[in-house]
Amino acid sequence: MHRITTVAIVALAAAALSCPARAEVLIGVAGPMTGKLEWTGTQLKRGAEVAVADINTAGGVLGEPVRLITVDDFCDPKQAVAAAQKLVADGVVFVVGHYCSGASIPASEVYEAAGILQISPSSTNPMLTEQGRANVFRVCSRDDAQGFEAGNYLADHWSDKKIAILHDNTTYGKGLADETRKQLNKRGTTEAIFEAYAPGNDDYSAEIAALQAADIAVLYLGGYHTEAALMVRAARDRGYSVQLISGDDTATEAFGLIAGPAAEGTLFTFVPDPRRNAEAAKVVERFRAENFEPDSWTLHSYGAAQTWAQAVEKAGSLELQAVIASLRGNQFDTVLGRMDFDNKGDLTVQSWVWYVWKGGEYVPLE
Amino acid sequence: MLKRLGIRGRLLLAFFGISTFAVLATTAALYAFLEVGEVVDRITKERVPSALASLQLSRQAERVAATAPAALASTSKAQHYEISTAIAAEMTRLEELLAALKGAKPSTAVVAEIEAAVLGLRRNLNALDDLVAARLTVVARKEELLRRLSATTNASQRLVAPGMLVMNSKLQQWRAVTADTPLASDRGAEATADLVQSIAAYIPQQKAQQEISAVNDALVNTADAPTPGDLALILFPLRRSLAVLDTISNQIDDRLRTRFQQRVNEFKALIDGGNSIPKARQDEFAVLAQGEELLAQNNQLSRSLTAAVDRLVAAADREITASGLEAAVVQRYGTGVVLGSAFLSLLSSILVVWLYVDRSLLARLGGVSQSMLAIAGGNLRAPLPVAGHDEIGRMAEALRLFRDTAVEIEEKNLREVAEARQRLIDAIESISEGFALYDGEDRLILSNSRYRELLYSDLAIELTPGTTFEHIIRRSAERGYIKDAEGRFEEWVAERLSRHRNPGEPWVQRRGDGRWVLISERRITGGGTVAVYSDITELKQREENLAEKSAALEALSSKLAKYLAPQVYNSIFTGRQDVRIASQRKKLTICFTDIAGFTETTDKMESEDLTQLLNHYLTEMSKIASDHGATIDKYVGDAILMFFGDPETRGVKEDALAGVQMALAMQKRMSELAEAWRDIGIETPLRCRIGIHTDYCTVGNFGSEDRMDYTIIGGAVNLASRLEQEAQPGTVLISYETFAQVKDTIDCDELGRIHVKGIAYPVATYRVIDVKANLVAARRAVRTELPHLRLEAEPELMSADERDQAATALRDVLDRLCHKPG
Repeated sequence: MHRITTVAIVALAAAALSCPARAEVLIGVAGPMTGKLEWTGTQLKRGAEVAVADINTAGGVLGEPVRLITVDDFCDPKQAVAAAQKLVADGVVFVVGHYCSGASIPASEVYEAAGILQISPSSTNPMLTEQGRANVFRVCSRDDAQGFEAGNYLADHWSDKKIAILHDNTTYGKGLADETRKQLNKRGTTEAIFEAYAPGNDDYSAEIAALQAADIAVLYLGGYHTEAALMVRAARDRGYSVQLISGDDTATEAFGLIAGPAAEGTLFTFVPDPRRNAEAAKVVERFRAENFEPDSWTLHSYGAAQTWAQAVEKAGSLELQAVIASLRGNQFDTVLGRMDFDNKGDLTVQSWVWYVWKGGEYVPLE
Repeated sequence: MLKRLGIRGRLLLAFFGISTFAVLATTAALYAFLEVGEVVDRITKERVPSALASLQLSRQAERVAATAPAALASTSKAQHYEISTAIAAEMTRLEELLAALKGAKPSTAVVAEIEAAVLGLRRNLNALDDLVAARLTVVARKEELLRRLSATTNASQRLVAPGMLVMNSKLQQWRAVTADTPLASDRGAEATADLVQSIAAYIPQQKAQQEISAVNDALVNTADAPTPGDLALILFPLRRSLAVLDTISNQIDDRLRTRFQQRVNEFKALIDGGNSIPKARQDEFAVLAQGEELLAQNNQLSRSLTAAVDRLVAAADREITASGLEAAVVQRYGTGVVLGSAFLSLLSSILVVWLYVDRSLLARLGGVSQSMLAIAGGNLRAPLPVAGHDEIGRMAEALRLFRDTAVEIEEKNLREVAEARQRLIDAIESISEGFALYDGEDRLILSNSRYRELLYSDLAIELTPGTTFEHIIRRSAERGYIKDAEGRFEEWVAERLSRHRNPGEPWVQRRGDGRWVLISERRITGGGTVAVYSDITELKQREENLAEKSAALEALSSKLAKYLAPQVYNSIFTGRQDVRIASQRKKLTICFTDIAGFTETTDKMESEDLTQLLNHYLTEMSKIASDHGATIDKYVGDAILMFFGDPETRGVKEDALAGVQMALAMQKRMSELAEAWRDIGIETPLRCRIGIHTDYCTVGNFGSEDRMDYTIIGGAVNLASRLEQEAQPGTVLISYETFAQVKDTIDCDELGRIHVKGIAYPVATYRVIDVKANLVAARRAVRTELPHLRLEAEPELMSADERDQAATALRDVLDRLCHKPG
């Protein structure tokens, strides 16, 4: 009898505690909110914020309002785990993030253990979905596809020139560099240099000088936009006209602002710019009305939250397995266009497009 | 006129007078209480509810007025809703109270005033509510603008961040170049120029950043500016900062400039124009001012409401006070009347009781009761109050009559007592016995002269009433009147006293002068003793004579008894049988005995010897007959006639058995007697024949009045006589009737039948052998008596020697008998 009473009290207490949590659905957004990648981290955060505002305007999920909690992972693997645990403690059911692959992968383990859905808008490293974690999805394409594209491009256009491949030794940077090199080598071209550099420095003149000395004509960079901008700027300052080719992180206004005129002509791969999607027009207008340019992965962040909300509505439940099944079994119409997921959590359609910096902004390559 | 009323009427009059005063007092008190009650009622029913309702109304109005500022201060819709709901509830309550107040009907002028104030308050609160809604709108707008400000500031700051990165990079490069001394100096100068250029490019950005911060801070302050005056003050530096930003934007890198210009324009819009932050704050101020005004009005209304209510309460208070005073006056008046009435009623009661009841009633009643007590106490000559016409007078009259009657009864009683006493004295004097009555303490109360004559003829003994019994007997014993007391004085006194105190049967006392006195003493109820003394001297002498005669008679009677059967004698002398001619039929056993050949045997005897032999024989037989309960009818010579069954019978069977056993005993005795008689010379032994028969006979007194004989007559007697004659000498012969009765006990031999004269049929006869129980023992003894032979042997009792000797003797006898000489 005593035991039954205790159980009943615990049940009541649990019901009482769960009531306010039910009144609003908590979700998280995680990325580098400070530091050198602050710019892109902020874009992730804004995208999620606007998405949540739009979801709530439309009546929330399953009739309940959604509240967003932002955490800063500094794009650091250890900080990412701490940030993920903080979100778990807060009781979120879903996380938009992280931004960096090196943060998303360790965090995914925490989310899986806690039964929380993770949709990354921007982590492109294949490893993220290759770990076999059912709770992990992403709305961007993978780096094996990106490296394939880059390797082919390098082989097509610069097989006769000296090519250097540099990477920052991060999960994203090294992963992308490896994939590119693999495809390049597959095409019969061997790079002249394959080296790592330390990210986070103020000046990369020494590295550029070394490339110049080695008569490198093409530099493929596996890394983030800050270092890429500083390197290209240092090269132009020296009068060294090396062709910079890089990955998706270059697709941000910040690259242009840091590199200045040196940014002109830089090539990079990125997914088709969602700002050009007809579905995204209204959302883009909303961002711009607030003096915010939704470039880089902003709309992907929006789209990740939007996808989750649709999946929950279709599942009719916030329960993880139901939502996972819903994500795997449905197509979603979002600001990113129509899309669906394979069983790993990747988009069924992988697509990388070439862009070039021209006149202070990036435009698709003609 | 009063006198005719009587006591009842007068008492009623007195009580009526007292009651009238009491009723008057009660009526006055009732009136006073009713008045006070009415006043208190008026206060509680009219004034107090009205005053209470007014006070509640006033408190409610104050509460509403106090709640109103909170509504104005509310910053969110939820808060506003909550407060406005609360105010609405309070207001509803206020209106309810107003309705209640109207119900209590106070002065209409004040109510109208209060109603107007409440209406004003309601109107004002509605206006305040609208105003708060407007303020919330303004606040929301302001907040939206502040969000935009924040976004713009953030965007502006973002624009500066890349410049910072670039400058840091340049600085690093410059440091590297300058540190590398072997490099050409032109390279160092180039690096320095590069750094300077980048610094120059960055400085405007930094200035812009400062200004943006200033603008942001100023606008944030604007949003919370305490007064409209502060707004005007803040606007000036804001406009200056905008001008500076305009200037700086021209100096900034082309790429950033357009973006920067956009931000500056946004700031401009936030600072000036219809949708600026200062404008929003100004609007808010206007709303707040209006609100303050409304609140002031509110307070004014609340105050006027309170004032009106206060007037109402004051009025109620005044009325309550006035009513209280009124009540107090009425109460005082009422108290006075009650006290006066009570006093008058008391006074009248005292006067009525003192002047009237006491004097004309109680005093006389006292006289009557005193006379009554005196009469009751036995004083019949006590003075009586004067009679009158009223109840007391009649009571006095009745008392007088009662007294007279009592006197009469007393005299009559005394006469009767005297007569009764005389009669008693006459009565006890007239009896021949002495009479004395002692009380519980044994003192003499009464005695008659016979008592003295009889017991104490000596006058020296006092017999006055009061003398103790003990004194009297001691004196008489001393004087020698008592024979028993001679020589044992004290002992006798003790005995006598004990007997006197616990009297029993009458007893006889022997007096000293030889007289006998029968003393009967009885305790009487109440503890006294009555003693009656009878002189029985003559009686005693006669008794002695009688005893002497009786003794003589007794002697005579014992002599006579010998001539009569003992049973008959007893029967007659105990009075069971009357001595008169009477007879009855009974079944008797009749027994005849006779000595066979008596005449022959006794022929040659002298008559003296014969008489002796006969008497001996008869005495022996009579003794046996008496022992067996036989009634001896008569002796006829040597024959005896006896019968069993009268005057006492043991039953026919037992009587017959007794007869047979007696006959056997006689025969046995006869054989013993033969021995004795032989010794005295009677050679031939006397042998007895006995006949017994059982049958009905007539028994009784037969004869004449002068000579009677108690005997039996009838055929049975003849039959018995005949059986006796038929019997062999020394045997007993019985008839069948007797045999039938005894055959179980007695062994008999049947003999022949005999004819009896007077009996038609022959009679069966039986010879009696012996009692069956004796028969065995009898056989062991050998008895033979023949002429010249008498044998008596008891072999069982013999010793061996004796047997041998007996056998030898008998063999001798046998030899001699068998071998006859010759």
